[in-house]
Amino acid sequence: MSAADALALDETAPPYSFFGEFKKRFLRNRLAMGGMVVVLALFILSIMWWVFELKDLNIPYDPNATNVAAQLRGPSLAHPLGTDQLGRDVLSRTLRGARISLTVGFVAVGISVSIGVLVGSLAGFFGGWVDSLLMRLVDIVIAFPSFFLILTVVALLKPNFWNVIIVIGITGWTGTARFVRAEFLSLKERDFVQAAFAIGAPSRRIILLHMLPNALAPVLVSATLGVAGAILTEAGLSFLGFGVQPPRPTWGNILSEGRLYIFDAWWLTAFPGLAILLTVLAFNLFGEGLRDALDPRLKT
Amino acid sequence: MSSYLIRRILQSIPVLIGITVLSFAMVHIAPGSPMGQYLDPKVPQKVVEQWEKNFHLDKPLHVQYWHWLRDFVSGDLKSFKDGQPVITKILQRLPATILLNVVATIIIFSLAIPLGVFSATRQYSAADHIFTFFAFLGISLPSFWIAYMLILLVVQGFGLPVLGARTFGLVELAPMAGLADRLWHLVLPATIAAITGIASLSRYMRGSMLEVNRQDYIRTAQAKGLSEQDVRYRHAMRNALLPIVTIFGFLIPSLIGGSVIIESIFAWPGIGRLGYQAVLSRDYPVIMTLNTISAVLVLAGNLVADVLYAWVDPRIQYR
Repeated sequence: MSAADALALDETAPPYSFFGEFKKRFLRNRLAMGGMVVVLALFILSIMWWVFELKDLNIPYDPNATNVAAQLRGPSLAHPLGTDQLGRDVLSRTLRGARISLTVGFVAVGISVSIGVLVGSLAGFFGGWVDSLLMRLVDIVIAFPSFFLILTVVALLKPNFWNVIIVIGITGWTGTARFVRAEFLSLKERDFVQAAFAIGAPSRRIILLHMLPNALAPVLVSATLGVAGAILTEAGLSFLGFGVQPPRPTWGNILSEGRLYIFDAWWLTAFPGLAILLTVLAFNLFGEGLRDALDPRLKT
Repeated sequence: MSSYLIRRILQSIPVLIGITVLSFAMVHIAPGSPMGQYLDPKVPQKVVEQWEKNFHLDKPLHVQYWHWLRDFVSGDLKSFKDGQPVITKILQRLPATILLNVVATIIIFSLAIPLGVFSATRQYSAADHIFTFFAFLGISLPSFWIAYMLILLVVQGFGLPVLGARTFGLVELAPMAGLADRLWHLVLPATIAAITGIASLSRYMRGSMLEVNRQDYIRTAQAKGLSEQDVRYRHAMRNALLPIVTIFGFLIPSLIGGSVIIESIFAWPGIGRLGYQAVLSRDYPVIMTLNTISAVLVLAGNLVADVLYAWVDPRIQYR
């Protein structure tokens, strides 16, 4: 008896919906829901403060306005997160930093996912020497000590916003490439892909229309987790002085400047660090929740 | 097995050469000369040229690469900064980094395995959920931030010195007190180096334990009336540990990567800090050597992981 017959016999079986199942599983996972809410809130905050910036509204203060009269003030009603060594409002700088951190995370992951999907699908689809060559390249990039490599390249190229994003992006694609390739290898043997080959569909059409959409779920998961990693890497670089450069505020460089005053002004180090922790945690919880909901077999 | 080993080692040679070519190209194509900052602008052009000649910087890139490779293999590589052999500089710093990472690894394994077993045996309980949340917290913690928060706590709260490998200025100490001082200086950096590892390894252990609990032989062990303790520790845990062994191979490179930040914060005299200083001063030979050594460690780590896996699990055979 085939699967179709079984379904026909049992008419009470509820219709199976991939998305419905996914939603049900995701909504049950409270940690993942929490992560998603924080991620959405961060998005909304960053967009709101971007609009404020474009309209020249400085809420609560101008993040770059110095005030000699109010240096290194602790948290108060006027400055909920205190002020820094130049009297700048830490809350305003942290809010502005949110957009920069999210931009770094998303653009870097956009770059690495694009490279990873391209390399992985080419290697998995064509196999043979294309596969061997691309996978040796993956081996080489994986064997680099990534943080030290990123640090070296960024330092030599002069650290700025785009260099940091590009370097984080071009070092982080190997994981994506590996599992897209694996997915393609198994998809290639499936009946619907064989059928597409049989009717003579061009390679490009088979890759883009038949195989890629079926390999995207894990890409989405690794992209979400990748954003967390990229934000953490940028913060680490900024902390060592090779990230996005001041006066443009990022969580990493506010913290890096603040550590000089750690014993006098703990708030300068504590709050931007908490912001990084909260953001990275939210993306990690969200990503793991997506993974569990997309493929319950992987649930640990 | 030995033919497998030889094949793996031979396969990693082209990868290793690819790594050195790539990192050489990246370091040398970057704009700016490494000589600019060591020499006084008043130094005559002739002397600068002589310097560049000594370090082969006047030659085309592929010739420079060849010189680098030759010197690297023979151990004659000299630092741009002070002309000292790179190998001496690295050997001076290596013990501190090894000490830090060995201690961190011991902390990771001795905490992560019991934690993973604990929460796997109580799957979906409140304790398990709390543990899961803390594991995610550990993975998401920026190490440099938690380092400063702990420094603040220890220095403000207890007035204890934390930087360096031992207390600065303390020379004459009884041997035991000196040892205690050194141990104390290991506590914070090793703990921070271990946090991410504890968080992720304990998750692996938990997953592995849950996987094993589903196996037939566990049901058999329970069915024949073994005590829960026996089933858990003799049957389940031993088998759940197998995949964990492979993690050991991947742990080494990630610890070394993390050393850059931790050693810079704690003024720890290891190779992470050496690398950071080399980057700051564009000391190409040191940067290149550290990149190559780390790559060798990554490749060796992968190989060790595969070999260990076959060693602990006779079902796995390499041909």
